[in-house]
Amino acid sequence: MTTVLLCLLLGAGPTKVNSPSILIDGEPTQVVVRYQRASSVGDIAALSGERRASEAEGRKWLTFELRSVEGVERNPPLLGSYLDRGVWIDFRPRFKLVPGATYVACAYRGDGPNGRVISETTYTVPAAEAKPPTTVAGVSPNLPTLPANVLKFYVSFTAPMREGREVLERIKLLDDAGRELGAPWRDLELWNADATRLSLFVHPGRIKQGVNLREDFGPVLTPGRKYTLVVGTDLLDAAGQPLAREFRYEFLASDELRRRIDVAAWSLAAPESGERDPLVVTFDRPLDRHLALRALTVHDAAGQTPLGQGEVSPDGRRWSWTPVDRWSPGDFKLQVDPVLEDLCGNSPQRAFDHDLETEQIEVLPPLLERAFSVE
Amino acid sequence: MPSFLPLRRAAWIAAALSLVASLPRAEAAKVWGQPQKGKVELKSIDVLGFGPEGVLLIGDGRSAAIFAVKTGEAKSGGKVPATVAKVDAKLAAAVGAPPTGIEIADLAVNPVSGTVYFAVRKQDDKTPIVLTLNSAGDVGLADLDNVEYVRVALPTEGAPIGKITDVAWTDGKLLAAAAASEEFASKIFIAPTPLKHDAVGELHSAETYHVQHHKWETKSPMTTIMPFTEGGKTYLAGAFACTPVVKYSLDSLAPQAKVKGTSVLELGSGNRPQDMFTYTKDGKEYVLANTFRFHHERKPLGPSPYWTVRFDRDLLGEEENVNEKALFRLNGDKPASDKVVMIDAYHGVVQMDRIGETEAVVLKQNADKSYDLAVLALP
Repeated sequence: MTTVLLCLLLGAGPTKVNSPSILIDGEPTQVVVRYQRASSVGDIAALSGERRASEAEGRKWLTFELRSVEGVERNPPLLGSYLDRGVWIDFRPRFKLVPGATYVACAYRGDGPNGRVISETTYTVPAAEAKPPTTVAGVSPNLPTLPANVLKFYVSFTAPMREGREVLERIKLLDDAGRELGAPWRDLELWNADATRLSLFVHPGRIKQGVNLREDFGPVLTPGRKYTLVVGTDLLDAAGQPLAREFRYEFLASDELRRRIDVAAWSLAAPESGERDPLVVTFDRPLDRHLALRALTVHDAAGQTPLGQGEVSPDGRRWSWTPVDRWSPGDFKLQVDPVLEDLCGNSPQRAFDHDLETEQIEVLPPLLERAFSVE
Repeated sequence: MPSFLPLRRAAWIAAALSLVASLPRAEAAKVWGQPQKGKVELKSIDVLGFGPEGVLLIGDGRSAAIFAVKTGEAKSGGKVPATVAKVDAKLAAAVGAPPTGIEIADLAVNPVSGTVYFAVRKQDDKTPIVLTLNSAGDVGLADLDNVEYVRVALPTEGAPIGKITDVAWTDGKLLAAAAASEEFASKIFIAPTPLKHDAVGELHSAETYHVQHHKWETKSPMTTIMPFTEGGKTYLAGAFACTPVVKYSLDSLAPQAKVKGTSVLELGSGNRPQDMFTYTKDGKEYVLANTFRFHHERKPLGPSPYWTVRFDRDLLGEEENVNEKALFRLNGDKPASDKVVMIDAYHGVVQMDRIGETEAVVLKQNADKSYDLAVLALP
């Protein structure tokens, strides 16, 4: 019965060559490529049923390739799955097609993919809809003055970015004469989970004293000089679009800061009981805002952590913590995770450029909590 | 609680390690404990490696996990193709992308089958993919859809992992090194075998004596790791951004312990090691390490920022000339020792892995920033 119906559809007579069809499956980047390989009654009778075919089997009849540049060898077929449906053979690419790219579906007489292409169909995926251009949302720290041994910058973007080896080459540091500094960054690309924030480390080998890298090439920054961090428009977002505009952040380098964070020097403004006013902690120096957000916690006398929300000021100098419930009178502690760092990688436990002989960490353990009372 | 140990304690630490090493060693650990059957869900792909029985190891920093996958590949008589020009374009085309549409994060060779595996990120949608290249030069897709696998979680203690920098296997242990994306920290993770699904690796913080620094250096993340045994003890050799080769004893570790390293070789400043492995040639053991020179433009060491060094394996066993007395590759601009040799034939090698005892498969960067795959003789 099926055969009769197909005969009616296709018509009997001499074999004719069909071209592959491109069927869009929901969105233009997802397709099924279909080739009707039989067009005579005899062929149809021989080809019936439906089964998965291996790539090797499927490619005898149909391949789907990224169109190659003229004069260049054909690209290898896309990876994907084949469904042998008798008269038709379907190919579904394993990965989404790339917006704007052109592909070619090639049909063979069962002797592909190295045999003669008997027909082909070209498919160009529509370019992705233009999205609002991505820009740099900000950089942290963003103070007008930074210690010359500043260790890292966080560059935030308004949308996910394209990752890759070239990223660190496209973010530059210029001196006060506009000259680009050579290789200032640690060559390790570190993004957050959705690739909207890049952690940009100044190479530690040019910060630490006594390291050959610093002795050979000098420190990246010199106190008293001005610098500009430049994020160029050649940096691409995840959609492959260049940044809408260049981002520049100018700062003055001040003296290097090579001392541990001094938790004892922080000032705590304790709130009053019965209110929901925040606990406000003013640091001894600007701190890494991202680390401060997860390194500081409030504990009550029973050691429990009340529910609340911490916030770090944009300059990294203050942390405020607002409880969900009103403060009860009693004793509390501010606890400091030693993971905390300032802008130069100094922690409460040690200076980044740790000196065993002078710092004597074992003798002077860091203070990792501060007590306060709510009355 | 001290966060590091001063130099004067080195002697009794060494004595303690010797005592531990003299204890009877367990038999070679079984690889698989309780694998899961199903689809490996990757969020990202940073590094690849192989364990025994052709176990594919995938480092996924965004999942803070290592996935160990049964490849099921059998021993093959085929060889890796001698050369695949513009292999990046070939891999990209197989996933439907232009050459710039993918990033090759790593490569590794299955020692059982000789198949080359590539860690690939498709750039337009960030899909993490593992591709293969067989002896015929055909690109395939590593099956991660319906396989036996184990997911080993890496405890981050709230600190997001920016990247898993390397993954390796040694007798009875799965090892991983990672860099945090916020604090400047070095993390080593160790998971015991047999591998059990949803196991959690132990976290260790690495401490290293920086050869050039003349102080205890505690936090630099390792960019490549390589397990080895010496005198019946198991060690991890690691290398850093600027660029000591350091060894850590793994036999006496406890969870949350700090791993104390001994620097044995300084390769020179301005370089970041990429891969490192041992091999034997003419009865002598060597280590081959390729590095990226980020100061290439100012002070090149060759035609490419990527260069490779071979050093005698016995340097890893050095006990006297270590830390501040460790060997420097250069004395001024001249080689300091014939134990450490730059290998010109490997200039441009971005990624590499060993094939047996005589060859390596390498990914070489061309002047136009395209990549060729090549098989090179081990020097």
